[in-house]
Amino acid sequence: MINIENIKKTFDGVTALDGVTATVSDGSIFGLIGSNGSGKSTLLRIMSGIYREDSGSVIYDGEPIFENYFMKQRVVYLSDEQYFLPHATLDEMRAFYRSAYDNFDDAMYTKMTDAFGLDRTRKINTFSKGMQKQSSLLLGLSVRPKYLLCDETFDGIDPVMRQLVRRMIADDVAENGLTAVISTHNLRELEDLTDHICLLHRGRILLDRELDDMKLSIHKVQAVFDRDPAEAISALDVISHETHGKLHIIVCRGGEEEISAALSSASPIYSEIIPLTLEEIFISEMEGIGYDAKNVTE
Amino acid sequence: MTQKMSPNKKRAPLVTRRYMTGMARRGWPLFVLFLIMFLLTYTLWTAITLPNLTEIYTARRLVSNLKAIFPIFSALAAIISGIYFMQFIQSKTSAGFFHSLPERRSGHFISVIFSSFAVYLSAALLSYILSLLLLALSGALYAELLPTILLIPVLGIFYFTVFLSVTVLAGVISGNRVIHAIMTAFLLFAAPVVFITAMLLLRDGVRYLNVSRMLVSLGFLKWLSPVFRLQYVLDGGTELPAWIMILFDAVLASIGFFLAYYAYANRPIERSGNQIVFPVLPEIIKYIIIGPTAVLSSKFFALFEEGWGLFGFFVGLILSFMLCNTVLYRSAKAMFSHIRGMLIYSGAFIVAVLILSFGCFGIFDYTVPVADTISVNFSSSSYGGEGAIISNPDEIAAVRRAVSQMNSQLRNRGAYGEDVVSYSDSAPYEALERVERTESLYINYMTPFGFDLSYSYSDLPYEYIAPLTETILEVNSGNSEYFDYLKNCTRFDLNLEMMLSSSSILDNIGINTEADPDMPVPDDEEKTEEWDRIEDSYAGNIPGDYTTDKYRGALTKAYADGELYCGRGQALENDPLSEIILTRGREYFQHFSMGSFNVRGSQPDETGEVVTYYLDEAELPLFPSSLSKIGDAFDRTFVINKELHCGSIPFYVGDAFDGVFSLSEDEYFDALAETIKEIYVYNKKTGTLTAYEGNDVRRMLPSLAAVRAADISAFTATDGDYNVMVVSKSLGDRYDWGGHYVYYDDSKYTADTDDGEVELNYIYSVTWFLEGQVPAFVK
Repeated sequence: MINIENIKKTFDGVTALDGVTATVSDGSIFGLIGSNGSGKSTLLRIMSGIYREDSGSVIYDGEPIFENYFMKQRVVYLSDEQYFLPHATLDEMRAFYRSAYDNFDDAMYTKMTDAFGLDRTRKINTFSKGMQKQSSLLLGLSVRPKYLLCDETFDGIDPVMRQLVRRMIADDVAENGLTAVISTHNLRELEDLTDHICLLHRGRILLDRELDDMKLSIHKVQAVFDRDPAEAISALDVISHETHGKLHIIVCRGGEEEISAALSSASPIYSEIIPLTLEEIFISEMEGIGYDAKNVTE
Repeated sequence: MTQKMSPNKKRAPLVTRRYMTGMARRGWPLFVLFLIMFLLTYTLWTAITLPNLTEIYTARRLVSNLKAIFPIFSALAAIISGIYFMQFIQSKTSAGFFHSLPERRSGHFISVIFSSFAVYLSAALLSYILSLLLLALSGALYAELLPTILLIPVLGIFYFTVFLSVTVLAGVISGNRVIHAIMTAFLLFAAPVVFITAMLLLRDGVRYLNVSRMLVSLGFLKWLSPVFRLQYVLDGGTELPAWIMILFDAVLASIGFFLAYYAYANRPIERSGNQIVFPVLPEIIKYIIIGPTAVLSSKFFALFEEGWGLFGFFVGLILSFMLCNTVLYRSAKAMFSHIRGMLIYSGAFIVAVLILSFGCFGIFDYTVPVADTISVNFSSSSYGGEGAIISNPDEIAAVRRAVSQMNSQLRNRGAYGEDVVSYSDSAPYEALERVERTESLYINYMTPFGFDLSYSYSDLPYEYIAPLTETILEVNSGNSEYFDYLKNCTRFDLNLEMMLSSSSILDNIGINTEADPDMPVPDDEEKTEEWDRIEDSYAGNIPGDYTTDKYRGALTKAYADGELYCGRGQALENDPLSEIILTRGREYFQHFSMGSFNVRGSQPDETGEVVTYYLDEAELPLFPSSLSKIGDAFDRTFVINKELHCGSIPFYVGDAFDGVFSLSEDEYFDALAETIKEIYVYNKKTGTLTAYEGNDVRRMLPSLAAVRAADISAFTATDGDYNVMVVSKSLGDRYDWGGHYVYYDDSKYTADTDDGEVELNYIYSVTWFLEGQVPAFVK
């Protein structure tokens, strides 16, 4: 379990994280999403023990991560910018990882390189961007970490390989109790994979819930009324509301039954309550705090 | 931080061996580079020299060279390896990657050090062992050289360690590789550059401080950079034992490693990729750089025109500020950032510059430093050997007192060294006199702190340096050759110096028929022999030659300035002063005349107009050694002998008569009063010329003596302040004649001319060499 407690971090007077608190359960996949510059990468770097937090703490299984040799043996951080030793091949990188990690699994390494179809003797800097991401991922997974921290790891990988990566991570979670924290802007990808979502904006947590709970607690309503529905709508916890003629499109918080009951008072001619996708939830939440495309372009 | 301490952390290794050896193995390209470097500069050199190593002295020379090479290349290897192995923290991506690995920062740090040593040692020792084998196989491994040979790798490893500490410290604070290299140079040379800048300012501010000499001798620089300490050790510096330098470096290297480790433990990894990772440092570095740059720029511009120095200062200040901002903040937009800090700094720096430029308000101008050893050298002479080296505490105290005395004179005069030799329009005579008898010297103080302070004094008059030279002679330091030279610069010898007229006087050597009627008048051949004898005796006398050159230079300048014209106002070669000779014993004479006599006849011509004829000419000697050696051309002129006789007033009076010593004082003054017409006293300090009537001689002479009652030599040229000429009553009235001052003699002179025997009047014209010094009283 990872306990993130009131983390604060400032860079040259700019606040990157402002009191972030979250908990990552063992054997879960934790999705870290947020706007650009929201502090996702900073949080992951603090979680991996690269950066030292200004205040707060990151505790893995009761131990801090920073300067903790033993805990770091169990944590692998895959950066959004992969680093490989200059002119190194995959095999050379394997040797390097073996020198750093106690649990490097050669069999897994071989299996994964074969699965990805990567040439182990070819210099990595000649690989494509996607192949380099695959290399980074397979090396990280070969360490057999307990905690895997991925910063936009899936971006740049083709759909087939993304599928393979997703499966590998899911298998590792299921079989070995891997705990993964995945930061990405590809919410569709994350939706299939993650159990828990944490939405960051401007260094603060906007939303931190289980994905299923989140999906059940926020809905989109499409309804047509023959009389003024204002009273009924005011009873909802509305995040956004648009009208197209008589069609009302409302995104609101609450369970399906709760919303349905509220709407019934206005006797809608037609109504449909649809669960939102993660991307829609993200957009709705961001719009709710004024971070929407309209505002940005204006 | 609110993190609790991990229970495992105490057991966690400082570094994991696997990781450390892995990093070292990745340094193989560096190993190849170092191996080539050491093989080429060390082993190959040994191999090439092998055929010549049949004698131990050639082997000794080789070993000596290798001993110098090994530490230098080891230092270079340390810088290269430090930069190479620390590149992983010089970019945000790689720093992030490495610090996400299960390795504590201590592990990264130790791995860098270990890998650097591993690569260096494997390459350097391999080439060293190969060289050793070559020497052994060729039979050139002399037992006598073994200690030095074994010392070579020790020195190499030591200086590798020293320079690695600097490079690693620079690497920790730097955020990219280029800046790492620059910062390494900065750490190695910033302190010396700041010191040199301060010295440049002090050079202008503290009188006599010889900054150039101090910088060349390393002096304080060796305390400021391991580069200079290495040079000092390799050069076999003698100011302090080498082991002190090595110990100092060892301490600094330890501090360097500790600082680097501490800084690395607290290094903000998120700032990797910035030029400097610690936010406070760019400003400090910037201000360390721009100050010296401004001063150096000022000095550079001042080379073209003195007034441009201020312009150069501000150009250097602003440009270096902009450049530093651009580099340190990696953005041209940051060019003018922190402008307020720069303005405050500029103000403070200008104040500091002014304080230094004015020599801290003069408090160090005449300070005599505390020293363990003092060496004194004369630089302007042709004597080029080692000067006096004084290390006995009592002798040092005596020398310091003498220097204080000299400084006191300088302070009273308020002169800079260069002012002493400068020509003043108002007192060219004074300048001429000083140039004639001055000396330049260096005084080097080896302070107890192991660096030297050098002072140089240019062309000081002898009387200034005499206390010092006498002290050195007393303490008997230096070598005999030096003493011989030194003796020429003492008061004692000064007092023996005579100011004689030049060749025309010597022409008359031995013609004192009145003093000794039986004395044969030498013919031309005899005079020539005498002349040759004098010249032979002092052939190659360097001080004399030197004086001649310098004197002639002064004359030339004086002529060029129009300040001076010779006796007959003609060409230089006619100038009686142009001939400098050496006479008598060890001393050399500076032939100097206050003026010249032209003896001319006058006669009415056919039209009844009086015309004059050239009969003879002679110079007015100020202080001849003996009037008996001056010809009858001077029999109407009295001169004061400068030679001292225990406080008496040894005048030679009248007609080359030297019987003054047999006279009582009253008789002496009576004789003077009867014969003296006028006495001219020329005060060289003030440029005033005073005439005293001969009748007042009784009053006048004590008055003259009172000018410097303590020292009768006030009447002498050696004092440098006064010149005195005594004119006989037998001379006629004085007339101003075309800038000359002419006395008509009542006596007649019969001369053979083409027109037969004619009766002529004597005309004595006194020519003052320095027109500017024509005394008011004659007008």
